[in-house]
Formats: sequence, structure tokens, C-alpha cells
Amino acid sequence: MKVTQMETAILLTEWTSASTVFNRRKLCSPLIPLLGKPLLQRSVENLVRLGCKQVHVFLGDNPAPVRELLGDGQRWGVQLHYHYLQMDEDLPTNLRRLHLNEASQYWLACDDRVPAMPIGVNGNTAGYWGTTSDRHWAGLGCFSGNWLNALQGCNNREDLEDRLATSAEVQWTPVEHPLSCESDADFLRSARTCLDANPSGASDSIRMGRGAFIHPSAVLQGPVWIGHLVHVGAGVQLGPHAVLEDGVVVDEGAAIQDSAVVPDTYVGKELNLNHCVAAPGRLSSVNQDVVLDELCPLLLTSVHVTRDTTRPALSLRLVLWLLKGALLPLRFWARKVLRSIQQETPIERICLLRPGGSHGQTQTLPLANTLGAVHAGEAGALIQHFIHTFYPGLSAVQRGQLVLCGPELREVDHVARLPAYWRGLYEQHRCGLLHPALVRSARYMEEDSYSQDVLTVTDDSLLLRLRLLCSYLKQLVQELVTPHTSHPFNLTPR
Amino acid sequence: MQLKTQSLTNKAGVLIAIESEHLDAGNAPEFKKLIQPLLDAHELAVVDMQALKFVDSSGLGALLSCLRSMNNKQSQLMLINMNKPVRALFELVRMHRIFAIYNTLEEALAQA
Repeated sequence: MKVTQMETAILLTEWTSASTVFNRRKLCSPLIPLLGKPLLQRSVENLVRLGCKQVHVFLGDNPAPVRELLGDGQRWGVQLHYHYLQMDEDLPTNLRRLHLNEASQYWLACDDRVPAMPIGVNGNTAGYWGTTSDRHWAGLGCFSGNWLNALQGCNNREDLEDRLATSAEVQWTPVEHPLSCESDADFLRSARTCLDANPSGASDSIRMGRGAFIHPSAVLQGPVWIGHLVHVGAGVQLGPHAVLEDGVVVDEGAAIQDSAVVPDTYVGKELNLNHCVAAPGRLSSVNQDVVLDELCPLLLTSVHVTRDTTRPALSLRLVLWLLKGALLPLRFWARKVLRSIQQETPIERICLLRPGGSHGQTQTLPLANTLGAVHAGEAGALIQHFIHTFYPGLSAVQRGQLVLCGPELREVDHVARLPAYWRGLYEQHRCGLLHPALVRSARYMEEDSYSQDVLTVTDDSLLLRLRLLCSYLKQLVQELVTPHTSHPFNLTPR
Repeated sequence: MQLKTQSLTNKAGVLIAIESEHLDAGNAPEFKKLIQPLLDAHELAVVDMQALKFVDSSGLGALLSCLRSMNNKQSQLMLINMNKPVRALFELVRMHRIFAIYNTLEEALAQA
């Protein structure tokens, strides 16, 4: 792939030193919306405004959410190419795969900073903000391939900033303070910048998202940003400079000024937020430079939490723990009884998805018509077998229903131990087991490939995803350790 | 399980195309058996995963075994043309940090 055009940009995501990543607060991520758009998306839009036709996105530790957000770039009319960023290698080594033309100019951008104004292009140019003596790179620059290839030893953004500061070849262009999310103060300042740069021109504008509800007694003073499906209760005072992202619920009597509330946060009754960034269970006061993580759920919590997350007092927890221990024999007895009841329950239905099948080819058939009587012991053994093989979704299979789908079993030896009928069915259809609800609700089943079922499961539940991960890691460790015990483990990252 | 091979000009390398749609417990041992002589004989191995639509833990283990084998003799193993579900699986278990994964053969050869 030869990259020689001027309309080419290189976007580096999560390109910071290890210490910064370690210290980075959870809230400050380029994926958190800033007035409805994540900073990363604003970075891409900024590059498109500058005339870029293709953007090479270098992915860091968490590539999946970045891909999900940006997609293939068609909605901005730009081509996005993804590459994995090798953290232990310097920038020129990472860029080598692009075959940079030494004479051509390229935009270089970072994901967590967006300059508020486009910069002029004249040779190697970097945008900066601050004073002339104290310059900070604004996260965007235009550099020649030759200059980029000469950045040996440049392993993170901090190194690049040092190199920019000392390079005589780079011209500096002042820009307005860039949008940034390096800290909560940056995040809040960026939110203010976006509010003040309202395209409508009104300094006290109030922007309402779809489905937002404002109680008639609430008092709003612009500029205010209210995202989609926000609920503002009675007597609430909003603004100036209040940002409520999508799905926020503000309870009665709360007051929010010069603050930002991240999506899906519940703000409790009569809570006063002033110069704060609020998230579920986390309140950061920018003025006082204090972050509170242990908050009562009545003040700040996620709107999606349905169960009571209040932690009982230590003494109560101790009593509950002792009670659990005392009731342990009873629990075992109940489990035994339940298991015996389960074994007597016949399987009533069978849902068969042939390999390569989609919704249209799914057959749900009464078991009696197709298989005749199935012995409970055989069914139980089969379920147990599948639970202990690759598919983690099996634990969710409801009693009285079996679902056969997917590619095949993992453990070939286990097939030999299956009852004859199931073994035949397996060998003929190369079936596995999955929960029907998981299969049907998954978007991957729209694709004409039977190999999607693992992703189907992992997409539906965090718990199942964790189980899959554990299963993978366990099997990988076995694979790596068992056959080569005499050799040292040699798996160096690239 | 079938592997299609093609010589590369770079570093006495070989391009290995996996022609099966799945790499799992059923064919992982066979895959390891077929690919090991190729890895032993070359300093650079580029595995084309275009046809591969499903990889399970055994398949990942087989690929890790290949990587270890190449690392032991200071050689390079590269993966190219990875499909979306396979790529998602690699990202899920963080294997994209261990393997050298590239979009195309040209990209891989540029890094060799």
C-alpha cells in the first residue's frame, strides 16, 4: 500500500507512555461523549475538514470500541484503515508499513486532543497552544514523510512533544485551546468551548435532545446542553454551562452549573454540582481538585442499576456470612433434590440450526415427533458434556429445551462417549449447543456464516464473555505449558 | 486441513494460506503437523487467514505454538487477511498484542 497523497492522515489512539496510562483516570477517555460526540470522532471530523481522504488509525490497547465507533469511515466520506500500534516499537517502525513517501506531507493527529481551529500548512508545521515560551502541542501537525521517518526512539506522545520542541525544522502555528480530555479540568474546559462555539450564535442557547423531558418548574439558564432521553425533575436549576449527556436523570431540586454529567448518570435529589464532572459513583470537583469515588447511590449512580447496591454495614455482612455458612448443608441438600427433579424432566422441544443456517433455516420441532422418548440421563449427560466443552452459553440453556447449532464440538474424545443417537446427530450435523435467546437476538446471525456463534454468545452478556475468556485462558495455558515443560516459555511480544 | 504455500522473495520466506474455514480442536493437531516443517525451513512465515472464519482456543494454541517455534529460532511469523470474527476473537483475548497482524501481504513484507 503506497501512501503518497497529501490527503492522508495518521491518527494515533492511546499513544501515551505507560505511566500516563496507569495514572489516567477512568473517566478521561477519548470515547466519552463531549456534547454528544466522543473526542475521537471529533478528531476524525477535524481531519475530514482539513481535506483528508484516507485516515490510517493506529489502534492501542482497546481496539474493539474504537472500531465500533468509527466503522469504515463511510459516514464522513473518508477511508479508514486500521493498524495495530506496537507500543514497544518507535513511531517510524510503526509507520513503516505505510510506505511513507519522504517528499510528501501527512497529517499526524492524536485521539485525545482536537485543535479548535485548523492550522495552516507550510512545511513541517505543528499547532500549539499556550504562550510562545511555554508551548504545548495541540495534537495535530503536518509533517513530511522524511521527518516522520527520522523519529527513531519516539515511543509515545510525550517523546514526540519533546522532539517537536527541540526540532529546528518544525514551524509552530498558534491555535485556540484544543478540546482535550487529559484531565477532568480539560474535559470541562472542552465542554465549555463547545458550548460557547454554538453554531446558532446565541450565547445563552439551550439545546434539547430527542425525547428529553423537562419539568415545568425547572429553571434553565443557557448555554445548556441536554442530550437525548434526559429527564429533568421538578425544581431543578440548570446552567449556565451545564452539560447533561444522553440518558441522564436529574432528580428534584438539584442544581447544576458549569458542570458536565456523563451519559446514563442519575443525579440525586437536591445535589448541587458546581464546576464538577459527574459520573455514576464518581464526582470530580475541578476547583478543589478532589475526586470522590465512594459515593452514596442516592447521590450519583447509574440509571441502569436496578438492584440495590447499598452495602450493608460490616456487622450485618458478618451476620449474613455466618448465616450462609450455617445454612450450607441445607443448600447442598436442596441442590441435590433439585438435581433429582431435573433429571426426571423430559426434554420437550428441540431447535435445530443446521451449519450455515440463519433464521430462515431454523427448525423448532416437538421432540416427541422427531426423536421419540429421550432418556433423562442421556440428556443430562449431553448437557454436562457441552457445558464442559467450548461453549459457555450452555449454562443458560433452559430445562426442557435443547438447541443444536453452530460448528462442532471441541473435544473429539468426548464425542465417542456420547450416547449413540446424539453421536450420530453430532457427526451428521456437526452441532453444538447454544441458548436460543442468545442465538436469535444476536446481530451476527444475520451473516451467512455458522462460525459466528461464539461471538453471538459473547455479545450478549458480560458474564458469558468473562466465562469465555476464562475458558480460553485455561485452555491456552494448558496448550502452552503441557507439551513443552522442558523448555522455557518463550513468547516475547513483538 | 490444507495449506497452500508460495515462496516469498523476502528473507527466504514463505506464504502459507490456510484453506480451511475453521481451525479448532478437530484440525489443530493436523495444522501443527503440516505447518511445522514449513516453519523449520524458513526464516519468515506469513500466514494468510483469508479463508478462516472460525478459530477456537485449540486453534489459537496451535498458532501460539507456531509463534513460539519461530521466536525460538529468531524468525518471524506474521498473520494477514484476518476476517472480522477471527480478528474480534484475537482482540478479545488480547492476542493482537502478541502476534504481528497486518491487513495485507504488502504491509507484512514492508515490516519484514
